[in-house]
Amino acid sequence: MLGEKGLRQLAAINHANAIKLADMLTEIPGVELQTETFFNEFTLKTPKPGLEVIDQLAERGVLGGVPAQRLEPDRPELANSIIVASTEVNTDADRAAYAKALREILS
Amino acid sequence: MSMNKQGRPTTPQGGGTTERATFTGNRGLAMAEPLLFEIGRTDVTGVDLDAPEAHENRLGGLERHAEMGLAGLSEPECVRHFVRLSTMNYAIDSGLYPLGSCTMKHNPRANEKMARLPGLADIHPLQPQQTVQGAFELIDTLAHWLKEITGMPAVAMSPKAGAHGELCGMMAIRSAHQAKGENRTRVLVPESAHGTNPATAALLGYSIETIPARADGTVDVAEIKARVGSDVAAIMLTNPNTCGLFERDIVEIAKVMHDAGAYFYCDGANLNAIMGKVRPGDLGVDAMHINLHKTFSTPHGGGGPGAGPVVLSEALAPFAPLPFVVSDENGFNLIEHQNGEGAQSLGRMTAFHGQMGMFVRALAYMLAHGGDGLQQASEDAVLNANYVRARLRAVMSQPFGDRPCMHEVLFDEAFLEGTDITTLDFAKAMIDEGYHPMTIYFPLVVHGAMLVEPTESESKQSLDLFCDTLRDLVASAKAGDKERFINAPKYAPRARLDETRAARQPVLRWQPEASAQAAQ
Repeated sequence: MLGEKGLRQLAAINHANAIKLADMLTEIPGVELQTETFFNEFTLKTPKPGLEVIDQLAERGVLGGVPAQRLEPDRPELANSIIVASTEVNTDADRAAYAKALREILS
Repeated sequence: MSMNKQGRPTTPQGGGTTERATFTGNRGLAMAEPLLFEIGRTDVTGVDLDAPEAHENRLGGLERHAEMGLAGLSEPECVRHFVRLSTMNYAIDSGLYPLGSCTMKHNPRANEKMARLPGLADIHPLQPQQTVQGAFELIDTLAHWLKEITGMPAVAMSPKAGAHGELCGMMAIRSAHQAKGENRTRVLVPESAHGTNPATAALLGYSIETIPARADGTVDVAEIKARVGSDVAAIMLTNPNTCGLFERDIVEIAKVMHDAGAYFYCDGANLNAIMGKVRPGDLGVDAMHINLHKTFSTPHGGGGPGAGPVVLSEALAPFAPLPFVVSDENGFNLIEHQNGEGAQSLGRMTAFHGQMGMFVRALAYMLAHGGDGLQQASEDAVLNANYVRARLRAVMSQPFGDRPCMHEVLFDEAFLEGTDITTLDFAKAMIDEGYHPMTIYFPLVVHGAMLVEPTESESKQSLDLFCDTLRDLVASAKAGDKERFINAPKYAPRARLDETRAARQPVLRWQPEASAQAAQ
């Protein structure tokens, strides 16, 4: 049903949403964007271990992504990285809630 | 018993029908359906999407510019397309589906209801573990049921289908020998085995030795004893075997293998015959895959998604793949990595944890039945197959004589001798009668095999109509009514296909110019 036209529109929405979220989150002190180019998924580095950040986000009702260390336990340099996505299913309110929760966790 | 090396004929002998053509190509509700590319257009979309906010992209110069040529359809067009395609297919929901060895039992709707619960359908395998404890508990409970039913101490849940489970079990066996510093190169496989068994062993680098069947259809134990040795890694047996018969010497075979330091892989495709009656663990099995889409009523789905968890003995349990669920007083934990001394796992079979949707459906089925209900399912499956045998034995030929079968009954082409009608022709004529044919030309140990597995889902009424139909077909064949068979099927959406040509000159891709030419 999407077809070529709809798929292109959907892709644009995904990319725009990911840019919005990446920009909101990198405004938080200490949060760095590790992937300069991305589609709808990007990697952030935070001052805290990724496993801890994701768990604390979950406590605040946000499924914030995947700790890089869960996928690559043998790469300690990725211990503070999280892999985050924002697609067409997330709203501005969802993204704002994520930013608010992450700011609290890191303050 | 010599193997039938001829296989089945693939060239059609008959012609088409001579009915009047319609303008649309439809015949009433039997609709001619074009391809998606012939319906939709690249400049149309059936989904109402908001325009994205303007942004400078960060795609690193990788933005696609060229057209893809993908068709867009409106929702009604899309729905009609798939509904029409579905009407061209025979399914479990259409009627009795006697495909032997596949266990095409009814897929209960309660399974579907459970699978759609948002807390099970809308979760992701990489969520923080504390947010999916219910899912882990479900996997753990299903694992417990599978171990109980089979009498085995361990189970690997992640394999995605039966053959994937075979691979898992054989990899565990290979790991076990490697851990002992043994390099074993041979695997024994009966002649009647499903082709995936030797294929799996060959993929892992083993050489295959074929064990013939005895005159009564069971595997030749004396031959196994003669061939076993310290370089044999395993035997791969199916029990009940692919002829529908219980391998009565199975305990002795297991002992022979174990005494030689080898392992016993059991193909669990026929578990539907023995639930609550026999536990593979009691027979000496080391690894057995279970087809959740066969025995436990999850959808077959045209080749996937299946699910093939593998029960394992104490000897093989340490080599089970990652990940697996463990429980302690704090809840459930998914172990995704293993390090250090005790790390013996063979690794991963798949990216995530297994076919979760099928786990939900299989457990719903088990809970709806209970242990006693599962036992009854097996009893009814065996009863129904023997009822079919009793109603057909006078007119169709059984290669190993008339003796009680298990959940499926095997006939061969001997009863068609002198009619010029083959097993394939007979099967095509069944399609005209509104039945999907039974499994044909498998197992290869028999000529023109016809393997009928009615399953426990069929009523006596349904079985009687099926048997009466086959009896009518046999009578036609014997009376010389070749037309009914040679030109079948006449009433299906497609007439008999030229399979040889399809294999040699396959058309694998739709092209707009080719489509226009074909239409002329």
